[in-house]
Amino acid sequence: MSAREDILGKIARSRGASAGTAKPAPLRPALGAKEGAARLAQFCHLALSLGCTIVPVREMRAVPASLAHALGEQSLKGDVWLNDEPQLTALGWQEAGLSLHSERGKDDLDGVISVTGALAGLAETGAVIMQSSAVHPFAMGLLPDVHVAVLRTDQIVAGMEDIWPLARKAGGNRLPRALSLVGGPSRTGDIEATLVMGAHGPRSLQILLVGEEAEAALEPN
Amino acid sequence: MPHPSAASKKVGLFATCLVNTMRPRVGFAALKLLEEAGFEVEVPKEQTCCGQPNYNSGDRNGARAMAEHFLKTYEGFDYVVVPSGSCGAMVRVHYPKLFEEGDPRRPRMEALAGRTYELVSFLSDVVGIELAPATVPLSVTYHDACSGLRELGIKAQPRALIGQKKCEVKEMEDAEVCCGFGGLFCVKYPEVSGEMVRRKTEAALASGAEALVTGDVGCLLNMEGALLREGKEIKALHIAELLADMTE
Amino acid sequence: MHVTTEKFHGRAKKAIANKNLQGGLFIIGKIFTAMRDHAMAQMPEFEALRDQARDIKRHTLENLDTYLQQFEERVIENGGRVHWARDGEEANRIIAQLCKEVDAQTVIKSKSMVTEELELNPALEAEGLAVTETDLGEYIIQLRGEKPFHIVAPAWHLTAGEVADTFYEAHKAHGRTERVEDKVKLVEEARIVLRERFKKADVGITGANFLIAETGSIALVTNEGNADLCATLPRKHIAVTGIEKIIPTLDDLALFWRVLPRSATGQDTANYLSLYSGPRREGDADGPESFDIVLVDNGRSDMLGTAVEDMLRCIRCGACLNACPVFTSVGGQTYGSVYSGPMGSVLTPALTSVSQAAMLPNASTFCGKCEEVCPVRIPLPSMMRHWREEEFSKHYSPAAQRWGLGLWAYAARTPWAYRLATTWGRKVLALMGGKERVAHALPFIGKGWSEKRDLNVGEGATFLEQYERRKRRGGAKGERV
Repeated sequence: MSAREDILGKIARSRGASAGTAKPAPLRPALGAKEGAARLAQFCHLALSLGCTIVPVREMRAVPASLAHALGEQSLKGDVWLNDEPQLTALGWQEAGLSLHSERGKDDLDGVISVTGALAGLAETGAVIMQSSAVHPFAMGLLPDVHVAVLRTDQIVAGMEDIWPLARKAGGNRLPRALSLVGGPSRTGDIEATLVMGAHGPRSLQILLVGEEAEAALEPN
Repeated sequence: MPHPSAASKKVGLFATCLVNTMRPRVGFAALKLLEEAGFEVEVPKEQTCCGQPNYNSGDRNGARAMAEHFLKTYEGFDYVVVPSGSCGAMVRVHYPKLFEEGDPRRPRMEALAGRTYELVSFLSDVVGIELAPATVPLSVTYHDACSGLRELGIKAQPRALIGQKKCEVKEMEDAEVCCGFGGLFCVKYPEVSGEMVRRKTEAALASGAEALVTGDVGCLLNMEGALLREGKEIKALHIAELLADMTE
Repeated sequence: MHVTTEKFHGRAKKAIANKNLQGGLFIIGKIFTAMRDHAMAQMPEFEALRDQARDIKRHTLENLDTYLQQFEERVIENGGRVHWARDGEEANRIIAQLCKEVDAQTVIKSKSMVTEELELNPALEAEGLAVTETDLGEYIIQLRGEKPFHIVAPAWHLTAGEVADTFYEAHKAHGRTERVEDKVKLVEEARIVLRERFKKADVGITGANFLIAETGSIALVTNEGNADLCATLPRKHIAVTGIEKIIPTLDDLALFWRVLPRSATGQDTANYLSLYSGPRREGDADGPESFDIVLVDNGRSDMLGTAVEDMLRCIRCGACLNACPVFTSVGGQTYGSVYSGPMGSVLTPALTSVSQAAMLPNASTFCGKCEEVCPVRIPLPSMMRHWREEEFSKHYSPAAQRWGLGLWAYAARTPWAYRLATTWGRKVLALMGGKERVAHALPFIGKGWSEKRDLNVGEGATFLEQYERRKRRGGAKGERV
C-alpha cells in the first residue's frame, strides 16, 4: 500500500467517533473593517509603525520627481531597478534625473534600489501586498537593499479578506505563484532579542503613496 | 453577627491534609470565620485526602476511590468548605469527571461538587461576609495560588476581604505566576521548583509588604520554606489566618 | 525523532545556573508575555477569534482526509506535486530523492520544526548535500550543533559574545577575519554570508505554517523574509510539513494570520505573511521550476480519535512556552526534545512513546497558565495528566512511587489508618523541627525540596486531634485550642 493510501486510510478509520463541528461564520475584527479616510489614516499609521517610510505624491506623473527628491534626501544615488509594470514604465524617469537599470539576475538585484508597484495596501496591518507576475520578478521585493513601492490610495483595502479577490483576479482566476503581505523592512530579533533591521530582505521599505488625499492622511490629527 | 444565609445551614469543613498535619491553625481560623458567620460547622472525623496526589500522578482509580470516600463523608451537608483552592478545585472541577456519564454516583458527585466551596469564595460569593478591621493591620502581598485562580476564579475576593480587614494590599510583580509547589512536582523536580520559588519570594519581598498571604497551605509552606532558608523577615500567612485575626 | 528526556534533571540544574541562558528566559517570560497581553487587549475580538480558531481546527481534523485530498488536487492543478510520508525516514528519503532530481549540491532552509523533528539536515548531509539554515537563530544553533532553545527564538540562550565566537570560527572560511560583538554587525555578517548561499542554492526547503485546501497553497510566516528567498531564488522549492497544518480556506487563513503573530511575539503582524501556490507560472518573471510538498504523518494520524487529538490543533506559536513557569526556568534544551514546554510535553510522548518521554508530562505544576494563553484552546494540563495516567497504568512510573500512592489511596479510604498515619507523621516532623520548629533537611522524597527550603513544622497535634479534644471538652464555638 502506498504511503498516501496508508495515511488517508488511517485518518478515515479514526473519523467514526468525531462529532460534527461546524465551521464558524467568519468574524472580521474592527481593525480590518475601516472605511474611507479612517482606512487610509490607519494604513499610514500602521505602515509607519512597522518601520516603512511614506512619501505622499499628488499624482502618478509626479512619482519620478518625488522619488528622485526622496533618494537625494537620503544621499542615495539615482540608480534604480524598475519592474515592468506599464503604469510605471510609462513615467518620465530620465527626466527626473534617475538612471534605470533592466538587469534581472540575482547578482544584479542584490543590494540595489528597486521600484515596483503593489497589488494593494492593507489597512488592517499596514502591509504592502506584493505578488509574482510576468511584469514583477518577485525577487525585486527581496534582494534589493531599498524597496520602493508605488501604491495608490485607492488600492488600500480594509482587511485580509479583501486581498483574495484582488489576488485571484491578478493571477487569472487563481492565486499568483507568490503573494506576500510585506509589513515593513526585513528584521530579526534572534540575537539577544534586539531588533535589527535588514536581516535578509530589504533594509528599508519606502512607500510612495499616490493620491490627492495622501498628504492629509499623513498629518498627525 | 449571624449571617442570614447561615440560618440552619450545616457546613462540613474539609480541613485538607496539609492543614491537618502542617498548619492546624488554619483549620481553626476557618472554623472561627464560619462559626462567627453563624453556621453550624462540623469537622467529620472520617475525612481524609481529596486524592489529588494520586489524580495528578496518573492513578485515576485511586483518586476515584478517594472521591467516593469524600462523597460518603460529606453528602449529608448543606455546604462543604475547604480552606484550599487546590483541594477545593479537585472536588468542584475534577471529581465529577472521575465518574462516567451514566454512573449513578456521577449526579450525586455533581450535586456535592456544586455545594463545595473554597473558603474565601464561600465567604465572599455565598455569604457576602462583612469582616471587622484587623486588630493589628498588616500590609500584605497576595499570591494567587494557581488552582484557586484559574479553576475557581478566585482573584478579587481575597483582595476585597483583605480590604475589609483594613490591611493594605501591596501587589507583587507576577502575583499570578506559580510558586513552584505543584504538589508532588516540588519533590519530583526540586531544582525547577526551587528556582520558581526563588523568583516568587524575590517578587514578594520586593513588594515591601509585611506579610505574604495566599490561600493554599502547600504554596504557603513552599514559599515560607524559601524565606526561612534565606532568613527573610516577612510573615507567611494563610488568608484564613489573616481574616480570623490569627496572625501571631 | 530522538529524545533524551531522561537527562532533564541534570540539564535543568545547569540551565538554572547559566546566567546567559537565564537572560534569554527573562525576555521570553516577561517581554513576550507582556507583548502578547498588550496585543490581545488591543483587539477586542481576540477571545472570539480564539474560539473560532479552535472550531476551525476541530472541524478540519474531523474532515482531515477530505481536506488533504482537496489540497492535493489543487496543488497538482497548480503544477506542483504532493508526496506522502508515513514516518521520518520515509520523509527524509523522499526529500533527498527530490534534491537528486535536480542534481542539487546545496540546499537552503527556512525555519521548520517538522524538519527538526525529522532530523532532516543530517539525513541530507549524509547524501552529500550542503544544507544551510537561514533563519538567523537556526543558523546560529546549526553552526553550534545544538537543538532549538525555543520554537520561535531558537538561540536566545546565547549572548552576542557567544554568537560572536561562533561566527568568528565559522566565517573564517569566508574570508572574515574580525570578531565582532555588536549585534547590528553580527546580523550584517550573517546577511553577507547567507546572501551568497541564497543566490547559489539549488534547492530551497521551507516548512509551512498552514496549508490551504481551497487553493493548494502553503502559508509561511517570518520576520526576516528568509522563507521568501528560499521559495523564490532556487530552482526547486520543497515544503515539508505535518498533515495537521491544513485549514480549509483563505478566509480561515486570515483568522490564523491574526491570531498567530499576536500569540507568538505580541506583534500585530509578522513582517512577511506569504502564500506560495505552485512553481513558476508560464510568463512569470521568476520563481522555482518545481514545487514539491512533503506531507508528513510521523505519528500524527495515530493521535486522531484519542485523548490527545486536540494537540493536533497546535499552530506552534510558542505562547504556552512563554507562559510556562517551568519552561521559563529551564529553557527548551532541557526537555531533550525539539518540542519543549507544555506543547512539547504533550506532543513528544505522542510522537515517540510514553516510556521514552515520561519526564516531560510530569514536568508541570498544572498551574494552567498554558491553557489560558493557547490561541486554539488546547487543554494542555488535562492532556499531560492523560500521559501520566498512561504511564501509571502501564507501570512505567517508579515502583516506589506506585507503592506510595497505593498505600496513600488505601489510607484515604480507611479513616483510622489515615489518622494514624498523619498523627505519627506529625510527631516525626515535630521531632525533626526541634525547639526551633523548623526542619532544615528532610529525608526521602523531601530531600531535594529541602536543599533550597526549610520546613516550618509548626506546633501541637494534628488539626483533627485538636478538634476532637475541643469537642470532648465541649469547647465553645470559635474557641481555639
